Amino acid sequence: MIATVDRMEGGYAVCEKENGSMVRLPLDKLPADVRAGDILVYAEGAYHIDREAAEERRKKIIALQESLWSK
Amino acid sequence: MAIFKKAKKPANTPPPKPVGGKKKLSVKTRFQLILLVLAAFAAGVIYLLNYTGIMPFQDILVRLGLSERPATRADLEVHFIDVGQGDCTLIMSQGEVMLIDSGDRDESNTVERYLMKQGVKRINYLIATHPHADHIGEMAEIIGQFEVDNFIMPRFPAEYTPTTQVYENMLNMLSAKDMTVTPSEDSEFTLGFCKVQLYASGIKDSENLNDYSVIVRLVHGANSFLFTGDCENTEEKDLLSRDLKLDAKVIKAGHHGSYTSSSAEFLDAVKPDYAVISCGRNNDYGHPNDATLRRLKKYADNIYLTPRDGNIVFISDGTGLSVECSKGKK
Repeated sequence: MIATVDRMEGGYAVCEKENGSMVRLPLDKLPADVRAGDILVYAEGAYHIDREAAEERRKKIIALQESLWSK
Repeated sequence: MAIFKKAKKPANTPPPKPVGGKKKLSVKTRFQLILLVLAAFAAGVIYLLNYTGIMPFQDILVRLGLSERPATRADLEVHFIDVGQGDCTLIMSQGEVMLIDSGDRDESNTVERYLMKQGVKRINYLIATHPHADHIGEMAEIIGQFEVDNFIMPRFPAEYTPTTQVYENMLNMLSAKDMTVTPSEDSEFTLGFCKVQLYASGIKDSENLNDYSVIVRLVHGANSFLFTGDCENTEEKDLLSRDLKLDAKVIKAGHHGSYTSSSAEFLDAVKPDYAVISCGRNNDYGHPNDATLRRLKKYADNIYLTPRDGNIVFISDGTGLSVECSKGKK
């Protein structure tokens, strides 16, 4: 499973699953350095942070965002 | 010991004995009696006014300044739509429409159906206070389904750009509809009969996107509203440091009533009579926080909660203000 961290909220990382639905993952089950925007990959019984994948997505979204500003 | 004796002495002094057979009342007792008679008289007058139908009890309270006068016309409607754990506020005045946030992703399209039921076709101002899923979840669908004139959201450092599909979908829909995004900045515009003031966050380097929440102040005559998105203490401090007009009769408490929002200093500046908290029933985040609720209650006599009251609608005619809720008796 892949989950994208939307935000931190009261001891949880609120994440978006691949199908677009939201899921809450308790922070104590995640790597300590997890941040909003990270992409989490579930493998071998634990979540791992895929910063490279997140960076790639972020670049794509920034490009789209920058093209939309009115000023 | 000596001090104790001194202090006690006057209390031990016997009251002056009444001269003659008649017992004279002390000044204090007389005063109390006069007050009692006046209160009884006032109560009688109020009862008679109410009983004879000359002036109903509610009107008397309004005249005495003890109660808000209900609105007689709906020149402004502010709908806090019950979207569960999230925010969505619909504002309508003179046929002009502003929507602040869209709530979270929702398969049942609660917001879209609500807007259609209200006869909304065009949204003059659509504001995303900040790009968290519980505030922009339905934005793509709303932008796709309704005519949107202006879309406003905050700028934030590129490194904190959301990577969620929900954010990307929103931007893609804006692009597909050939729209541009207006970055939030301190500005003012009119919406129907109302004046709208936007305050952009002065914070530039936070990784918490809540800290970039666009603040909206809406003024309609004597009635005013402050919509704070997910503003937390850090942004509250920034707003207070900038000498902005923050006072409002109604506040949408920041960040779903969390413990990191609605500080006493901030509420001192807002001085709300009414507070609205938008959050999910039995949510896992402890919203609203008990201490925050107690703090809000010190200022606001009337607190409304979407999980208890459902959709909460404020109706204003510029002087009077009424509140209607879809659930419960409030």
